[in-house]
Amino acid sequence: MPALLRIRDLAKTYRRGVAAYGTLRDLIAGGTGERRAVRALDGVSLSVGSGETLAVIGENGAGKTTLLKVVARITPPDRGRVEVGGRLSALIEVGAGFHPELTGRENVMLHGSILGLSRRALRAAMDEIAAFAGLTDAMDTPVKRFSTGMYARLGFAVAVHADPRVLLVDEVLSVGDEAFRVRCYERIDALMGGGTAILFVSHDLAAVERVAARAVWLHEGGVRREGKAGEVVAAYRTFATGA
Amino acid sequence: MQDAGYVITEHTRPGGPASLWRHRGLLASLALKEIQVRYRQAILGIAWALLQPVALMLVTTLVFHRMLAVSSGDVPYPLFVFAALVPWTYFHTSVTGAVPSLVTNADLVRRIWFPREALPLGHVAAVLLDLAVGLLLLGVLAVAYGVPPSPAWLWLPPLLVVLVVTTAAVALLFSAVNVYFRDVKHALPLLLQVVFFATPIVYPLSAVPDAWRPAFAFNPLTAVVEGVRRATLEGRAPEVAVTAPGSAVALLLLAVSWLVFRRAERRFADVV
Repeated sequence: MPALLRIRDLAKTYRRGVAAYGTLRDLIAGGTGERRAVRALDGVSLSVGSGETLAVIGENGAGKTTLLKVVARITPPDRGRVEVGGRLSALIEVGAGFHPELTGRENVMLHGSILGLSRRALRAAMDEIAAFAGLTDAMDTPVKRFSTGMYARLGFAVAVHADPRVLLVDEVLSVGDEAFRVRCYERIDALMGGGTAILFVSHDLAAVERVAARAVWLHEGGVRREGKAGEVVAAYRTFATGA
Repeated sequence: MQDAGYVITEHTRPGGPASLWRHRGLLASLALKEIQVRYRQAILGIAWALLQPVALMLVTTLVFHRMLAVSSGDVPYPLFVFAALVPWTYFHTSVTGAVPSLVTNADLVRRIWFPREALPLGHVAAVLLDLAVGLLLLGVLAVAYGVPPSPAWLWLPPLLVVLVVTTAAVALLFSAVNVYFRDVKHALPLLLQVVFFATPIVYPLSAVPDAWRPAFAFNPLTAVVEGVRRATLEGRAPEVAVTAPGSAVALLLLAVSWLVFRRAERRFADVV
């Protein structure tokens, strides 16, 4: 099984002071705030094969989001390497690319373009995207009139239609009703069947066991445990509830 | 560490102009969004694109021509000033929209990868519509004032390229710096006002003292404004001595700005 996503020895440290450079005055004053270093990732290595879903679990602040951001190329690592074997699409808080004044249709064009799809491909997939989101009748309505669930469904529909080779999923299946969730799982299964590698980040341990065969437990920026999803989830549950 | 970074794959190729070209659909989508959002639910619609240069034309004609007796030679002053206000308004509107664009779209920048240049340059592209409408009105005004159309108008496309290059350069540079220092947002209106008066818009270049001329020659907007005036109002080719240095500066500025942008871009998501 060829690995579509390989991550080797990834490390990233945030310096709190950097974020405090809001204005020139802060810089001249020498970044007055304390400059505590936060080690978000500390030598993480993992790989996801074609047709495989790897779940990433762990407490808040364990480094899950930073891992996704580095893999998605949003922020550079201090050390280490990410190898991606094809088109990568990220499902990270979907709908961030929507504009409230534009209609559903216009937003699909906009958000899809941001995700790297061509305008022609988007026009061709428009009806399918609308049907998947269950919003065929609402596509000419400005999305400011959408409910949170409708918003998220449309965002998800666009992202999965990018036909990615590598898909990053961050806590998005918690939105939407049960019927939509079922469709999402079906879609994820179909993508896996087609050979897509999926990195799945979630706090929903039941969802993790449902979707992923393998899991990684991140703790304080490092891999605490890696293996079969059931075993890793069980170990993490014991840690999180008792310890 | 030596090996920090990415393997170049289909997804993770270097950014910059080549990457932006591959994502030209994104640029089109962002420009279209700006146009749709700007004119939706506005009764006057596209007329707003004309209101600013027309209003400025009336005010400057009253103040600088009638009250302060600034002369525009053989060309009627309103026409003289409008020919400069159309490119100026393009520059002003684009830069004002582009500079905060990375910060107002922080949600996107923090979550999704795409060529970041597309955000400021989307504004630069969207305002081209206003520019086209403004130029159309300039043509109508010129004919109304009895200036005959001339083959020299064919100089407009290269002059507009210089204008867009200058605007893109300033948009890239200041939008990137604004991510790190919000002071830019506060300084910008002042800076634009200074540039407005430092460019021969409300006065002719001939009114500039000889000793100051070299400094004016390196302002790309001077090249554009003077070139547009000569081409559309006098039916003559732009003066090389006026247009060449400014055009060279525009290209250099774009190269430098893009380099700064790409350097600053790496930390956008952490800082914004």
